[in-house]
Amino acid sequence: MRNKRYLLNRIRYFAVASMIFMLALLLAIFIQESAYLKVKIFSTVLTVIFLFLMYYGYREIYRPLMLNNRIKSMFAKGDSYEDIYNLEYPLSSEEQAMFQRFFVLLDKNKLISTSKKQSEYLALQNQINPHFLYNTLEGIRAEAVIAGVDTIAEMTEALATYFRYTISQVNNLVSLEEELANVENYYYIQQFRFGDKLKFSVSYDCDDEYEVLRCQIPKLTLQPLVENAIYHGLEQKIGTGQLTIKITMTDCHLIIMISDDGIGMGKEQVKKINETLRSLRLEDASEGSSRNGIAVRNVNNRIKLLFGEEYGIYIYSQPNAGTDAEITLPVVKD
Amino acid sequence: MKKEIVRFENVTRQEDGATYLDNFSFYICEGEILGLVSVNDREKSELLKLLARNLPIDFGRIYFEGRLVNSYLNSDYTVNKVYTIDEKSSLIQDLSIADNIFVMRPGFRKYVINETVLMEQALRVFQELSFDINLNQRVSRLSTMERIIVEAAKAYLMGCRLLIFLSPEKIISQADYEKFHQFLLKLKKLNVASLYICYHHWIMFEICDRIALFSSGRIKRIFEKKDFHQTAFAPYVLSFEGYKAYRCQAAGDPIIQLDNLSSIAIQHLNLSAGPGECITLLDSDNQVTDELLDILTGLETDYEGSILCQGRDIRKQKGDCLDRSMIILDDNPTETFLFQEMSYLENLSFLLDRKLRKSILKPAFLHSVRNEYYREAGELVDERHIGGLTLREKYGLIYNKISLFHPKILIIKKPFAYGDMRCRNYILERLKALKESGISILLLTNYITDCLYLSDRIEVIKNGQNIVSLHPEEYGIISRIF
Repeated sequence: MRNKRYLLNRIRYFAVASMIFMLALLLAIFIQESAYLKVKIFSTVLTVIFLFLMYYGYREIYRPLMLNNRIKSMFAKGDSYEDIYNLEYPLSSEEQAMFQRFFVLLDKNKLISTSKKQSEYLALQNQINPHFLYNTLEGIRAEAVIAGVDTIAEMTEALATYFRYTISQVNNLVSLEEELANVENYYYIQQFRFGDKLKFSVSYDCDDEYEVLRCQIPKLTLQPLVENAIYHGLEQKIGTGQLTIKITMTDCHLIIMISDDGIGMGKEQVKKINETLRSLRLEDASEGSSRNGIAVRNVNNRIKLLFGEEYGIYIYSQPNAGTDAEITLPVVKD
Repeated sequence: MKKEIVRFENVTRQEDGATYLDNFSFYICEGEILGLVSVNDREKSELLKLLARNLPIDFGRIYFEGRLVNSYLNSDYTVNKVYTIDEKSSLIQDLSIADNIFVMRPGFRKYVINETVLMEQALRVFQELSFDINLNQRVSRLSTMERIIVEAAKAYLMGCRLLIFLSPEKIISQADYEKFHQFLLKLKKLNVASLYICYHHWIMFEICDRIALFSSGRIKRIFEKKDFHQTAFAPYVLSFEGYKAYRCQAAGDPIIQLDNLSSIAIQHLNLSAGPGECITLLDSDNQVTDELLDILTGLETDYEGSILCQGRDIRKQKGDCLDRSMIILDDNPTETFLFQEMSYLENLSFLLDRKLRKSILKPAFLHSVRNEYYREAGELVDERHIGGLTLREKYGLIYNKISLFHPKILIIKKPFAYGDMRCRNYILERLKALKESGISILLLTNYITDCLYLSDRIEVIKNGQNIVSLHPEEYGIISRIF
């Protein structure tokens, strides 16, 4: 491919050439050794002006250009998503308008729904009619009640509640209370499989528990992480596994820590995951991505899309010690 | 509702190609005591630099009291309201406490000083901290604990809402530790956040709200109060618990013996160590160590009682420590025991001529020393200047030198005062090897930390005299003594 002739490089060459020319001019004036005082004063004033222009050029042109360049290169690498639409020093109003247009074309809402769809149970793939599913589950529950098998009835009811929450509610934000209820329901279903091997608890570190429970968070934030903790952390653990959700509220953040004492992850794996989580990765939202390990990234993407890049998930893990997934969200009250 | 004082969000900081903070995230709330165990010293220094000043970062954002103060897009080098209290005092020794608190502080722009008003303000702060002190007293007369409280009061008056306590176990004696923790609780009541940086996580168990483990530029895990037990920490830290040091059976005559030693601070001190024995002198109120070292090095001769070194009174012996086959290391030997401009081999063989009682060492001898330590230190042996070595490599050189000199007695002041977790583990291994080779080791410390894993006996000293002598099976009661 032919090398592109970048405009910024041309500006650089031009700036360097102008500087060399000015320096040469100043040098020529100085070595002239003129006896005239006026010439000396003129050359000194010229030097001061030249130095001032150099400083001004560095501070007001070069530095902003480099900053813009940095933001663009981070956007290209996928490390930053939002900063490019709000450049502190846009090149021109046209460029700013162009970026704003891109922002509209990218359609944030579409990204959110694509991302959410993936976390809404890939097994279903939208091929099953939800009402057909609920009716069938209700039918099974009724048969189980008639037959006197309470456990099957309870399990079916829990499963129906779980699917109703997962598929039917279309809102992006739900209350923390609803999310926790969904997690508890999910834990109830898992208990049929794991029995006493799986323990679950929720704790609060805040003044007013009721106020925290009313906070709004993206729908299906907690359950995919709990599922991850069970399948990747606790399932392979020998003995009882403990799953904990700790909720902390500060003046500006809602911090939810989902911890398991399972098998944990190695240093490099944790590093890699946290690197992908630190910024919005749009490629993860594509339909073709594999399911494995994508749940955390999807939840993270949704948080960043809804609230901004400063929020998201951070993972702490150590082999044979467990994994903590820390979700940082803004405090949004209904 | 808790107010966040500091928040680091995915911060990455690189310098000269090395990454010191790598996607680093953490937060501290007001009135919180957050413990920080750092595995690496350099990374910790970078974190402290970033907490104090908004230096350029490669990625992430830093918030101070909810305000974005630093990001990868803009770092303005401004200073944050953070105060670090470490072993070096930031107070001017010849001025009074009040002058230090008010006059010697940034932002104090008054031409006429109203002393009465200043005194009232200072007294109010000290009352809030429940600390009674004469404000006209000179700072030079303060004890370590008092100095820490005065510095904290100064920081509070400056508006700092985050205080960093850097390795307090290095300076605070075992007896004062309880007071120090009480003081942290008073700061907590005033909504001042404390970042308690310490190498020993178990010291922080009783006081911290959370403990963060900092390693490889990231927070590896944040431990909540319910996880404050060794089992939870075990997978993360180098465990010395299963460490089995060779226990000496105290065979043979004592190599060093202190009989009824008395001077200014020391009162009838008795102590003896046999070959291969390791004794820890726990100077619980931090009064004896320096004076004892002065006596052993011959700087102080005005004392009563006797010090027998290999059966001979050192007062009657000529020569210095080397002639008595004694090596004394202070708490920072990488600075005081080594010559930074000299090569590794020169450092290793310095004074070896005196030890061997030869005026000139033959090149062939030095060559064989080089070959001998090549196995231990590798290419480092040929290093021309040791200034660029890491802390652990410098400690390696110090302990190689000790093993080359093979003294009868090794005396170390606060052996684990410097160095990160790995470095301390290394020192422990080297001391264990020296002990097994039959060297008598005397460890002088004000706080029992890793010395526990090495000592055959702990002599607890208070008010200059022995109050109790503990054997390994009795080490558990140390905390109950104070």
